[in-house]
Amino acid sequence: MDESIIRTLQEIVGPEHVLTDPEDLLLYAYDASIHAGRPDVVVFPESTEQVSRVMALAHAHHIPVIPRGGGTNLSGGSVAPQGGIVLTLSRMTKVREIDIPNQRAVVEAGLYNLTLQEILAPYGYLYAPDPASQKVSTLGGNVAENAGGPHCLKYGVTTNHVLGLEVVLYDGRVVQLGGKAFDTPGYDLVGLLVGSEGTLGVVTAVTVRLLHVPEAIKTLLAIFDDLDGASQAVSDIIAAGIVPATLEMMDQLMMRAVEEATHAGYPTDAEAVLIIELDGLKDDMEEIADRIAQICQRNRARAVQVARTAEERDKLWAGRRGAFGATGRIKPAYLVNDGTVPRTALPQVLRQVREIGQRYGLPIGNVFHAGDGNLHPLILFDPREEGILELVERAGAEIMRICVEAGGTITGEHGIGLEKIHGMPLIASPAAIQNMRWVKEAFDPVGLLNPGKVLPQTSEGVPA
Amino acid sequence: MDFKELLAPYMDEMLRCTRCGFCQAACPTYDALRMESAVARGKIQLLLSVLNGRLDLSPKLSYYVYRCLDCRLCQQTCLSGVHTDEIFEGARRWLAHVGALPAPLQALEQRVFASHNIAGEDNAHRTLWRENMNLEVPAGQPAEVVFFIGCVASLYPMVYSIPQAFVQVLQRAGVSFSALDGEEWCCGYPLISAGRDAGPLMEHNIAAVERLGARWLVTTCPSCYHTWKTIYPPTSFQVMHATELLAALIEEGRIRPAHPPTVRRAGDAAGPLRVTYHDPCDLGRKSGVYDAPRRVITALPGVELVEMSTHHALATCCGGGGNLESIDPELSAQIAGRRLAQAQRAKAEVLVTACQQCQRTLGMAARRQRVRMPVMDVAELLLSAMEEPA
Amino acid sequence: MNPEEMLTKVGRVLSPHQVITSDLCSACEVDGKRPAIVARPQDAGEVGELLALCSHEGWGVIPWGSGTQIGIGNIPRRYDAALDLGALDEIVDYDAANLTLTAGAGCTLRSLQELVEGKRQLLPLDPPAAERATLGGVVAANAFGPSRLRYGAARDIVLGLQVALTSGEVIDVGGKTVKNVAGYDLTKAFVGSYGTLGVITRVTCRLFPMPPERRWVLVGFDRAGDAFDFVQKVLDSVLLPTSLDLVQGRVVPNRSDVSLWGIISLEGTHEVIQRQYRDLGTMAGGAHARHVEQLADEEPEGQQVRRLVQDMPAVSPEPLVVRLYVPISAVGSLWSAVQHLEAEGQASLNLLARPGLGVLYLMAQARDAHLSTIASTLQALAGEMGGHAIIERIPPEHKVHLDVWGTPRSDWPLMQALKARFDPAGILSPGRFIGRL
Ligand SMILES: Cc1cc2nc3c(=O)[nH]c(=O)nc-3n(C[C@H](O)[C@H](O)[C@H](O)COP(=O)(O)OP(=O)(O)OC[C@H]3O[C@@H](n4cnc5c(N)ncnc54)[C@H](O)[C@@H]3O)c2cc1C
Repeated sequence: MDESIIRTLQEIVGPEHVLTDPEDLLLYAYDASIHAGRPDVVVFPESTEQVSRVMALAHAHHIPVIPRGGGTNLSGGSVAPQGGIVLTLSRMTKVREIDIPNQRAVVEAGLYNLTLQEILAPYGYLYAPDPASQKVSTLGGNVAENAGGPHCLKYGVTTNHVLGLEVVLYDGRVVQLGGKAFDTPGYDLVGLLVGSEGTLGVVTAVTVRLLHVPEAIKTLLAIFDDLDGASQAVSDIIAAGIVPATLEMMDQLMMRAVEEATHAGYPTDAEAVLIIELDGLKDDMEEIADRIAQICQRNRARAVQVARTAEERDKLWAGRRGAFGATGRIKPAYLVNDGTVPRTALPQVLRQVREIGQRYGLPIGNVFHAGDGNLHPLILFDPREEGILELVERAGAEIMRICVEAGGTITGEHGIGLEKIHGMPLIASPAAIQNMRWVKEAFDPVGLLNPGKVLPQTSEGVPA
Repeated sequence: MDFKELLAPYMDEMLRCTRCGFCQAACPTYDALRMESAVARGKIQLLLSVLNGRLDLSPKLSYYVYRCLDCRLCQQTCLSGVHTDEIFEGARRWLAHVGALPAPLQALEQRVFASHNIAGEDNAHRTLWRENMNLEVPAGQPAEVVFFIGCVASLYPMVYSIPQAFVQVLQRAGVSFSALDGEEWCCGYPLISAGRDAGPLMEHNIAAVERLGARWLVTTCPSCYHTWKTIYPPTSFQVMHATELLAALIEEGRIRPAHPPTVRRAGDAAGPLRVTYHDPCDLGRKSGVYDAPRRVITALPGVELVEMSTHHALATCCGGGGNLESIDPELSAQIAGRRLAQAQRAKAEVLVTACQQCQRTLGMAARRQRVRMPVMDVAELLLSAMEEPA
Repeated sequence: MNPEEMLTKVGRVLSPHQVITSDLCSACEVDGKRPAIVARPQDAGEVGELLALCSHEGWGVIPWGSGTQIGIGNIPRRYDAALDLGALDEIVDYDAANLTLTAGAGCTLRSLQELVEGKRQLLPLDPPAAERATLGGVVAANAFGPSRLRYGAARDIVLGLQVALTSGEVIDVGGKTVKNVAGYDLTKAFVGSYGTLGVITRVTCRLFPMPPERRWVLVGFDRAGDAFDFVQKVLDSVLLPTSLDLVQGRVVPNRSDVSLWGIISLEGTHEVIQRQYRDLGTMAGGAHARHVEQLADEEPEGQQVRRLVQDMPAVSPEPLVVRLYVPISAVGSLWSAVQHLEAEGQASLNLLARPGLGVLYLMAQARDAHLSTIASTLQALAGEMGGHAIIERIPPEHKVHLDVWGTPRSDWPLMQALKARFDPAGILSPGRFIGRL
């Protein structure tokens, strides 16, 4: 990259916040997926104004910009396959406003999700989306991926809780979309930006909706000796008109890794567990818990346990949140699909996933948001094995396909990024993809923001 | 020769890292810098790149590897159980071997070899800490207990108070002990943690202690403790940390704390003295000693032990760990400030630790930030709660 | 536009009985403008073909559901054809086990609600005039009612759409799962776009289990200040009301003479409802309430109350209806700020507040000459309080100098760019949206 551009970047953000050495570029060539792509320069702005100047510079010189938060996405979203500037928001962590009377908070994009929760806790409020990565994923990244989390079953995902965004456009213009009030007149640009994976604009600040902490919480662990029983129970609970706060499933392979990592108390001899949490008013919680226990028992649950203390509950959740990270105990790498299917299709789709694993000789672990039908089959492998990556990708593509065939979609929360770009034609017709391209052009006419992500090239087909 | 074979055995361990990034939340250095180069996931990717031939050795690479507190929070919290300690130890050994030690560490190494202490002073000055006390401290005499004082507490006036307090407590409890004075050499930890061997230092120290016929070696320094306990070859005597000895003395009734600790309190302070305890990494996470210091603190009258938001195995490092202070003193200070802020948020009146290095970094942070919170050693707090000898 | 010529061209797409001309088109007037034809396509394909034709000919076209929201918008720049979507009334897929429903845009909300209530499920959209409102219209307007507090608006409930584009193509966006991040969330672009980007032909919604019991709680206050104190307490509590509205005046029949009513709905099991009722009673007492009572939803009086809060903005006779939005804690001050209009004799007002949503409906009767001044004053007032105001109803002549959506903001060029790509010929409800897009 041109020296003069580097110098200008240094003037904008300060020399210590511009990295160009090969070591540093390697450090921003990966995320939590199996993809890589090395940028030409990494910058760390600390204000919206700096972001705006960086964008204007990139625009003037036609340089791609890849926004980055915590680098924890699972689809290759923050790597730089075409080089360019990685724009890391990790220094933009200011809390601009905690506005309890209006049940809103305005925070900068680099703030971790969990940090926001910790700030809100003393007020008795929370921000509902709780991705398992909340310790290290940023609100900007959550917005860009429309992140979900265990409690999104009851409360909805990021898009249901973000009301306003401060966005820097491709040419450096700063716009405010939405705000503290609902329904800003005009098109729902906030709704479009959420889930746009850094391809439409750089989010610098987020206005979120806060919810009151529920009066009571009850966490159940239902233990099953067969996977079918567990997935049928999920479907039956929902069909019975119960909407728990969470309805998570973990299978045996994942429980073993998790237990080794966290000693959370998961029964490693069982085939599967459901982590079911109820929240809300205390008055009927007991009764609902009983009904859930009955449904589980009808589906051959071995036991339904209740977390007796906050500590027990925290441990279960620490185990659940740590599950992806713990897979390193089984195999060095994983590819995680996150297709979503109608809940009634869960038993069948899980059987198909297992069958795919057997056919390819690949271990597949499952730990996922079952209540939303949002699968997370983790295909575990050792990248050093000859030809394995191709095998893994083929198995992944098959899983995407069966999710679509079951009436679902290829990704529920992890995004398309680079990883699932070949799968896009499975769920979007050429005309629908063309529509998305219009959106892209309206926001980023030159195509400088996170190029090569989300939208397949016109000629892109589905792999065989 | 690039000695990469020194790294190769860690390949499997490094591949276990799934790049989930959770170490960002644990790493105090990352918290301060917010750059991937600070965090375990990043360093592992760099080392893997070296092994895969995608990256060459460079001063920057070495700097990144050494810019580390070696506090092991990344390992403690890693879900895949990646042994970052082993990986980074291997990496440092490799770097030291190929002559890529950062300049401040090279200088440190030379000082230790030449003078047998980290300060580069005449080793005979190791007695300075006790010379301004009107107390006889036995040295070089046969004793049941040898007190291994450590370079920092012997030679840095700011923390003389730690051995001074400790020996007074020992004397009031009637413990027979001896110091080594100039026969005490650096335990070797700074060299080992830089990737070097410390064989000659270890041999000398073992011989010096054995000469006095001691059954116990006691240290106030957690790093010496950790080194003696886990890196030294087996010895004829047992190694214990000062806080373990103090807790035992209290429990045996040989020490009787008589009154609340005499420390400066704010004018409006009421109720029991709120004391928080900072777990030194070398004592807690790396050696498993969490309870002894807390048992001492809670044995004192009028004291309430309050925990900071991170404690025990998850305690945040004070910023003084590993080689960070040599490599980047400012960063070390910044991290200390954050730990101090945790103590403030816990509404502690006194910050107690059991390590001269933690005490220095945290004490300097308090001074810099004009925080009027005394930072002291467990032994000092205990001494202040004991009756003056008649 | 010559209707004969139009008819010939439309005749290539639709059969004659699907097209209405002449006086009969008066039913589809918008802001005093009458289309030359009203076309009634049978399926999405025909909608697409018509749109392609309109694009080609440059005819302005306005999609119609049942017209309950059609008044919202600026005066159409051009209006040649109305697109009556009433024939798209197919139930495509009612998947009760997965709590989703896919239905044609022309289905009335009421018919769908009756359908799912049969399986003890709920389609929780309760905009004004729900008996007539069509699913497509409600979604296109992101219309909502009191229960948005619990269930969200169309934006939150719609999972997927089928849309006919001005190119003639018909696309599916979103899907039938609650979570879906495959590509841009185009559903959000179309929901609330008031028929200016494409024509919604089919909608997939998420459904909810029918609560075991629903009740209304009426709380009467003498002073607005007391009522808003009460509201603030409720919103800052652990209680989970489904809706919370404040209405002014003697709107609840056969009740004591209070100046404001708090109207709250509660859902859930009997215990949960009664527990909340007790807590509400305590809070109301603390806020000097004069009257507290509960009504079962299924009783006639319960239904009456439901219709009152749901339909008020649609059925009130005033010539000016404004929907104001502010941050939620500002609704109380907004409520008192608008009172000066009445105090100064400029208008007589009828108010409905949804404090949990930050919404205030203002219905005003005033001298005709004053209406646009009042409307702009309200837009400015909401703006100062961190919100905005949409003029839902005002005689068309006042719209000439007034953007009913308020002044475009810095994000408007993006909207313009979107519109230019989705509707390059500018034929879909031309000029009606913000900034006369
Ligand atoms: C162990 C583990 C568990 C996880 N659990 C969940 C889960 O439960 N639910 C879930 O939804 N996801 C989960 N994820 C995935 C990941 O954490 C989320 O996608 C998260 O939202 C990414 O945030 P980030 O800050 O790391 O963003 P990054 O990974 O840095 O970036 C993600 C995308 O957002 C863009 N981006 C980042 N910041 C901005 C910005 N300010 N403006 C514009 N674009 C931006 C990037 O370009 C990229 O396309 C998990 C990941 C891991 C490793």
